[in-house]
Amino acid sequence: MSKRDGDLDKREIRLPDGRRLIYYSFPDPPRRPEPPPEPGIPATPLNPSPPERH
Amino acid sequence: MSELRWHPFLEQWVITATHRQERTMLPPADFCPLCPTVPGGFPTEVPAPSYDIVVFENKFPSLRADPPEPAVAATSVSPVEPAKGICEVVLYSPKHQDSLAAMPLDRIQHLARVWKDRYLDLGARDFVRYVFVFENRGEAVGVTLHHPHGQIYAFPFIPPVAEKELAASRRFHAQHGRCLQCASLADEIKDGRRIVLEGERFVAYVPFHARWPYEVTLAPREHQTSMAEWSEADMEDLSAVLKGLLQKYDALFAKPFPYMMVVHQAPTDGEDHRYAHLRFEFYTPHRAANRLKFLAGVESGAGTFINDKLPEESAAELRRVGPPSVAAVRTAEKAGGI
Repeated sequence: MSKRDGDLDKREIRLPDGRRLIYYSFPDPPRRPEPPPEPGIPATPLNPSPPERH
Repeated sequence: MSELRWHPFLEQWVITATHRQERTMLPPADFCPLCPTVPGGFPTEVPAPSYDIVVFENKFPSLRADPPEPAVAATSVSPVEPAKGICEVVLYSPKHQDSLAAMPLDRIQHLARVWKDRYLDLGARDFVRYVFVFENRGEAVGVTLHHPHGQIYAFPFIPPVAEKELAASRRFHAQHGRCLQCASLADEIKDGRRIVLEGERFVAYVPFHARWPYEVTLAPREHQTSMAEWSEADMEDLSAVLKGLLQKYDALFAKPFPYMMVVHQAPTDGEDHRYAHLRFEFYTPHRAANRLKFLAGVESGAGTFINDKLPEESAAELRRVGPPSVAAVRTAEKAGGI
């Protein structure tokens, strides 16, 4: 049996001894808001470009 | 053999479950029953070569949906009932060496979604009055399998610790017109000395009344009675605070830190529990790197905990190690750390 609750993807099977087993699958990362910068620390890119040489 | 026997002096149920003596005990990693079943390998509990998160009914359950009739007769003072309920195992990851502290935030957020789904699914059964989510980590707290996993007990009754806390919360709400946990958290934030980690929506702190050496409560700032009220933003913030806390625990003595993680929340008995406030509690047996706290005579026989640590000092120690903030947890992961 396979069913979707909202965006939750789960598939239920029965093991040979009759117990229930549920596979939860998460193909896509859940939506997540961008974390705010830490107080007092300016936001910086993860891979900042090297400073230009003049 | 499994049944509920009534303890007439404590007025609570005791579960007998003799079949649990047969549980698999600390098998070598090559024979972990919670890993995926790889082609050509021995069959584990999960008949698939990989998985994201898996939930299954425990092979050695204390409670079961179709329990046998009790093997003993009730006495004049102690009723006996079938051990009806559901015991589930939650596999956090297919990786045997994984841990919550090392998992990506997305996976922990997925786990929170699974917890919420199990609370709703199990709590909808007519015989389930309380959904108890927990994890035992480490041999110091009796773990028999090291694969990262937690458990869920769907109880046919409200377990006594939860019942006592709920009664206190109900009385406080009736007397003061507000939630006990909301009031307690407000006091902790105002004081500040016992705060360990603050997210936008969840806060981790060593409670003023801590019973265990490094006990921590992790609770939502907003009044939430259960996981059913979690939004995606709640679960994202929870994942970061939870991961940060567990990284602090592991950093404290520079080794995997044993704990019992339990979730207290509203029962699923159909009654009005608006006064209840969800929270995680972490009970931690280590009082020093190589010293354990045992529940000995006074704790077990008198029900009074003796804590060898001041909660204010424990919180300060936890603040000094591991990620300094929830933002640091997120930044480290983005930078490729754990």
